[in-house]
Amino acid sequence: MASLPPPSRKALAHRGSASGQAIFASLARAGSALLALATAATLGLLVLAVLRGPEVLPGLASLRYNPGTGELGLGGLALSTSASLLLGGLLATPLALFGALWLAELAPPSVQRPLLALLDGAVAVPSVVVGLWVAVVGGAALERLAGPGGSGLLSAALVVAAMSAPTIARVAYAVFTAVPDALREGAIALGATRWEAVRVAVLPVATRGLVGAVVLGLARALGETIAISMVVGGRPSAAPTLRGASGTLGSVLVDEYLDAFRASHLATLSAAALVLLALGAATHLGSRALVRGLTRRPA
Amino acid sequence: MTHTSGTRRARTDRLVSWAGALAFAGLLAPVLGLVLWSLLEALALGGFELRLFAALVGSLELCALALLFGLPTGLLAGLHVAELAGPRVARAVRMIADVLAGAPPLLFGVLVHSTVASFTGASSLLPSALALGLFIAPAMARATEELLSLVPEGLREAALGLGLAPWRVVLFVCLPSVRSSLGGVALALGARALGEAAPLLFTAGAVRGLGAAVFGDSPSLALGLYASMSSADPAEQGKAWAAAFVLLVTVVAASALGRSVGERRA
Repeated sequence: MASLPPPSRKALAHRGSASGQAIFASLARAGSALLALATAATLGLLVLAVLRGPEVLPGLASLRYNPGTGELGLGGLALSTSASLLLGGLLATPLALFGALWLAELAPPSVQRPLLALLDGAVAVPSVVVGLWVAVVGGAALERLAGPGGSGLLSAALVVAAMSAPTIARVAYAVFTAVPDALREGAIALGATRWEAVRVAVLPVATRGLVGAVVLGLARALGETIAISMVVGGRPSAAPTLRGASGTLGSVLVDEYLDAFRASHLATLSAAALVLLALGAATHLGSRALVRGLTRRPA
Repeated sequence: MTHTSGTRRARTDRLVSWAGALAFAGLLAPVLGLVLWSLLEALALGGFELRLFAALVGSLELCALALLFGLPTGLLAGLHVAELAGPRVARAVRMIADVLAGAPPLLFGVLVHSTVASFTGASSLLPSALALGLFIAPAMARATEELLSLVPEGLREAALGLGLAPWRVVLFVCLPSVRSSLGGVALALGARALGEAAPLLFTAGAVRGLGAAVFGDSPSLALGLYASMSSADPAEQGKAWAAAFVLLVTVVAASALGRSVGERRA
């Protein structure tokens, strides 16, 4: 902390600081209270909607979902959600982790900063743009590959991969840079090559954080609703029977929430939202626990 | 590694380096390809028009308003957790922030749609900005808290030792020492909010094509893109690609700027 500015004169004038402390404390408390209020309101809203249509609860685990005929089971949607997350994760994880490893450990120092800036840009790519691209370009290619209508799950997986890979790489990069240099130096001093140093000294320490990175990246894709809806939902070519197989818990929310007027339909959608909320909270809390203490900067 | 060059281990090392570079290129290629693709597609379909600029202005306006709601809320909550709250309250607020950060952004739109929007009437800017503010606030709270935990204890003690009131220490000593990082986080969050369309489906009223009046129904590039892409009309699709291009360039530029701001030493 060599170049810190001296405290300003305003800071040193401490007249009336007792009331200042009180004002500061109540403002800060208000900030936390607002967050708590928003959480409570969201939960309350969803739970209330579920309670207004309790008759859907027994059939909620059923695999069939077709609001037109009153079949309101979320099981199939949950299955296709997990399948798209799994497939997308399998696509994204090796690329993202290996790319982050290269950037943090093996890349020439001169390219690290500009490439990191580009990676930050990739993290921020809007989901609507990803959805547009996968729907128009990827969808056409997949349709040719898998036949018409068979591309729903694959397109969803592609969206998941595209949405999660930059986030996984960004968090993984932060995990790699948090590994103490002494470990690498020790291995290199013993005659290891750069890659051997990474394999022997860095990876064992970083594993927990890397798992956290993958979980955090997939959590982002889990909350993704609109891009998946763009590629699988509301597409006129998708037959109604295939909808259940290719929509996800998130995409039905985008497609149907605004048009859901029946209490039972709204209750089902709210239940789907609650499931997503619980999964999102669990993954966030879990990955925090995994990454905690490893990264120096918030990623 | 000159002494090992030519051996099998050195070859493995080089191989892994090249493969890693390739993996990283594979990570970034979709983004760069996307920028180029959307530009070409938009040019081919004649998607660039003056109203796109109006949508961009509307998007930026919305984003600024959302930051105005979200940043102070998040900052204050982060300050509360880091500096004032006891361990139990801190853990509770941290968990709340995590729950909000893990929620599908669409839910914020649902929340605003079914609470606030009935009071604000047909105006779409305010509820949309509120929903996006809810998207920004939890991430800002976590970032503030984590950055404040990095402020060296000695700095805090020195300031307290000079007789500063605790709140002045936080506001005029601790916060300024992390202000560039906070600025970087704020810019990155702004970039994320700029591209977020899902909550706006519920708050922006009827979805029309791109470039409705700034205070009208569709103030957002991201939402306009969503509306235009579902059309079969090539002109509308051209607009979608043009919107995608403008959105991509703005968002990537903003987050790159956020990185350079965040790395400047305070």
